[in-house]
Amino acid sequence: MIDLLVAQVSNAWWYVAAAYIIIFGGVAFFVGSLSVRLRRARRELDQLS
Amino acid sequence: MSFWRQVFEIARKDLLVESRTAEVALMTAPFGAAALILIPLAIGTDAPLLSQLGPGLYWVVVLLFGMLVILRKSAVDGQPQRDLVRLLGIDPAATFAGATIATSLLVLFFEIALGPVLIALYNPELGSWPWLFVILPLVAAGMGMLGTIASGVTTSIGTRTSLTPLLIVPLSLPLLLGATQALEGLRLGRSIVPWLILLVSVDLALAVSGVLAARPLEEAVT
Amino acid sequence: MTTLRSRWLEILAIGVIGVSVLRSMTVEADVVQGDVQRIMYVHVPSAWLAFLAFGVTVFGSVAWLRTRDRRWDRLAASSAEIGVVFTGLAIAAGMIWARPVWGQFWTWEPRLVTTALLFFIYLGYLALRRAVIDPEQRARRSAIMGIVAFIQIPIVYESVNWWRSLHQTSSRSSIDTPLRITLLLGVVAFTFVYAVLLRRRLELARLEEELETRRFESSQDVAGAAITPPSLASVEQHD
Repeated sequence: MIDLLVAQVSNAWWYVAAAYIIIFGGVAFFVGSLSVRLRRARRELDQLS
Repeated sequence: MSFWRQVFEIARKDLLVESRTAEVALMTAPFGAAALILIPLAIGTDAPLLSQLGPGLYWVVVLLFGMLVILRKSAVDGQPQRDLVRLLGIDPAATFAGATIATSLLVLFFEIALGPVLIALYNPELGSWPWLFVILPLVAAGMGMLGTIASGVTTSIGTRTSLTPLLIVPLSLPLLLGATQALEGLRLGRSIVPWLILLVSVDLALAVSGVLAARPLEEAVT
Repeated sequence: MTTLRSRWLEILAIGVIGVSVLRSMTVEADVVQGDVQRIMYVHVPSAWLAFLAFGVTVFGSVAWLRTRDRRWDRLAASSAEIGVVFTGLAIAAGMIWARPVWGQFWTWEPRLVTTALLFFIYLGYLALRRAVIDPEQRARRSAIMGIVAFIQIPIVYESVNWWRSLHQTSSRSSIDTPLRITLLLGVVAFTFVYAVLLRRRLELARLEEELETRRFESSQDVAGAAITPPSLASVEQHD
């Protein structure tokens, strides 16, 4: 299966776009969730002190 | 007490406690056998197909349902038992080895109990079957060690029955491949030495990790 | 508060990522696979980042066992979380790449199988961390599990490799220099991303630990603290 050579994939850019969106979307999501958790931790610390 | 005497006593204690409830013999083994009966009903009862798939399904059942052997009630020591073992000055490595031997023997028992079910229902071609006397103990030892390490790490955690299998299953892949490919090799009359080497090296690596982890783990179960 | 230095690192990371993506899009297409091959420039760096992260986790685990310094435990935990995220992303991008090239989302290739198992191994590691409440216990148990898992990973890989080699061989075509430079650039860019993420995650770990300590301290003097409840340790069933 790995040796199967595909000379031209007709809608190659769709696949490329999907992969890039998943990777960078995933990173953005992770950064966002980290920010939310950081903010929540800071707020709770402020409330305790 | 010498080291090996300690190992023996710990293993004997574990097996004695297990013999009171007989959880593996009366509950886990019948459960595994029931699974082997259900599978053909799901994938089809075609005799040649079952004969071909049987050994693989057997190993999947042994590995997955074997989790219940690892999680059995008698493998869990209460705080008083742990305190006592520590006060007696038992070497943590001996505790690990003893618990591993007990679990491995029970997994081996589980494997042997499911064997006749496999042969009766699936009629697999086994080739030179005496090799099973080497393969079955090697897999049982690997599962016993993985189980003892993972159980040590999950002691007294509320979700340990779900967490322990998650920790073990991905790491048990070499055992599954070694076991299934060795049986496949026997069926086709090929050399199974590479797969035996794989099983032995997994067991050795686990033995080293288990002994190394034993001392820090003992601190963990205070 | 964010210092100027942390901002610099983030700006630098975004810049390198920008250059890397631009180059991935404009570099000449692969002779064999065409434009789909451009997925490699994010897929391989993601996988690299994941392996780097798990390497750092093991390093942190060993360092904790030797020094018992909380910082190493925080490093191991933070890095493992980033590693799990990027393992998942690398697998997802790889499947999208595999679909047009191999005609299917998944093949039972050793690296793929091992990466998928890594995902579950470190999910288990994170689940273990969540399940243990006491910080000292958590650090010790997760360090042990992290190290034991790490010792097993090469064996997992070799076993799948061995198993595959009996069935089929995978051929790897060499790639041209401009493409290789682009890939290298991607790897560098993702390493910067790792540094930025790790920084943030470590900050979070530090805050959460502080929060844990503060909560513990503030729970010391509640009303009725003078009354000690009977010890349940001797009655409780440890399951």
